[in-house]
Amino acid sequence: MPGGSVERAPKRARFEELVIPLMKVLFNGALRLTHDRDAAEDLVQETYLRAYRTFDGFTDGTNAKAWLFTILYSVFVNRYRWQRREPEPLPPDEIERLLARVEDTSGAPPPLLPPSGEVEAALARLPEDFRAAVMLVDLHDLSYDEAATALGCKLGTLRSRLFRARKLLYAALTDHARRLGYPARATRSEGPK
Amino acid sequence: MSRHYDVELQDAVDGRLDPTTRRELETHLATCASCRATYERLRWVKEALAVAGQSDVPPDLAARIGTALDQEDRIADAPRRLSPLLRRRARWVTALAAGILLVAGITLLTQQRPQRQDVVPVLAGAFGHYRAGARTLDLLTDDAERLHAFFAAAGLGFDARVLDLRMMGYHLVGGSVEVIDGHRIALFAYRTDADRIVLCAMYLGDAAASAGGEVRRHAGIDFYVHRIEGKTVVLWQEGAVACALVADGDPEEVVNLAFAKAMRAAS
Repeated sequence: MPGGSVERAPKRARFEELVIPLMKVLFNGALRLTHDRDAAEDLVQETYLRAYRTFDGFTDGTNAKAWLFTILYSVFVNRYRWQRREPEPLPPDEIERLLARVEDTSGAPPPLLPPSGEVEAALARLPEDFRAAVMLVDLHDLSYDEAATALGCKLGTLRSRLFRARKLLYAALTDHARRLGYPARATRSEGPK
Repeated sequence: MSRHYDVELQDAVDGRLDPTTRRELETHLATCASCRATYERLRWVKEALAVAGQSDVPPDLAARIGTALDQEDRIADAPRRLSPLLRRRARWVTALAAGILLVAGITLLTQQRPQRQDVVPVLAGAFGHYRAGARTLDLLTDDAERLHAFFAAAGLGFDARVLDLRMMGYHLVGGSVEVIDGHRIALFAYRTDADRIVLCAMYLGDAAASAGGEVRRHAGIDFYVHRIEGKTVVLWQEGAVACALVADGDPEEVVNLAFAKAMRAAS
């Protein structure tokens, strides 16, 4: 972070020490929400600015990443949601078809894991609520409670969105993998940890 | 056969199960092919997501944020450095600047910039988020003068007068500057002792631009009343500035508050 003309107050130094290392995580989150690099940059800048203004209310020892994502999602919803550039989202009937297919558990075992580009593409087509839940929990390691707070929803809603999002991702990715002829992965017998 | 598991399978994949439930689930999975298949699929997705890539941060983003924070430091420090005499003078300068900006705003308005987004659902959504705690205000203060100075420093292009409504039982909470479809909006919130929240907005624009509202005329002013998602949004015009008031609860109470606020602003 370059120096400004104003003498750095202790608050500024503490703020930068805590949140600047999280810039890459925030930028990637912003990019997955906006699908646009310029909008993602603006969103991250606005998030940092708001975080700085309310930094006095931040409790030391709590999860700074969860706090920043709460601000980021709030700014996104209020300011950027209407101008996002989404890939064509899954139509509702396609969502229902995919979910129904996942319910049929008699099918083939999962194929080999797809490349990350295909995962990103499938993620981008999820409905925004589902995508945000997966993003926060699976990609940015927020707890269910932290993710629910960031998205402004109840814990049960977060769990439900996450469940449906993962089922949709499974259906979309395996559809794609089978079309491309990926081989099935050997079934593992490992149980829940 | 015991019952099938559902969201608990996801909890298991995320390592969120307590030891007792986990043991029960392990026993169940040993005999239930359906739940085992769902469990495997959820785990497959989690593993697939683990390989998702990360884009690099644009090289100039850190510098941009640093500049924005520098600017924020300057705004935050400026009022405290002024002596009482300078503060009085600064208020005059602010008032003069606001007058000039108001003229500029009217000029801009006459150019009739197209309004592409309907502000009513946006304001209703903002109220919902604020009420749910998912939205924060940039400046938390019960001091109307301080919030007024904050809006003046933000260069909104108009004088955002924040009324002190304590006599009516509404305590100022704070405010933010928002940008919606190119409009810079002064947004501020009041709260009553009974925890009722009212959100106010001011922006350079046309209060009558949103279709579908009921027009109510009071003391020579047209008020545009919209009902949306259980909230009432009332808009009216004060010169070049469109004013809005958003709340839930009794719509008539919201309309009457808008009447009162408009009268106070005009006095």
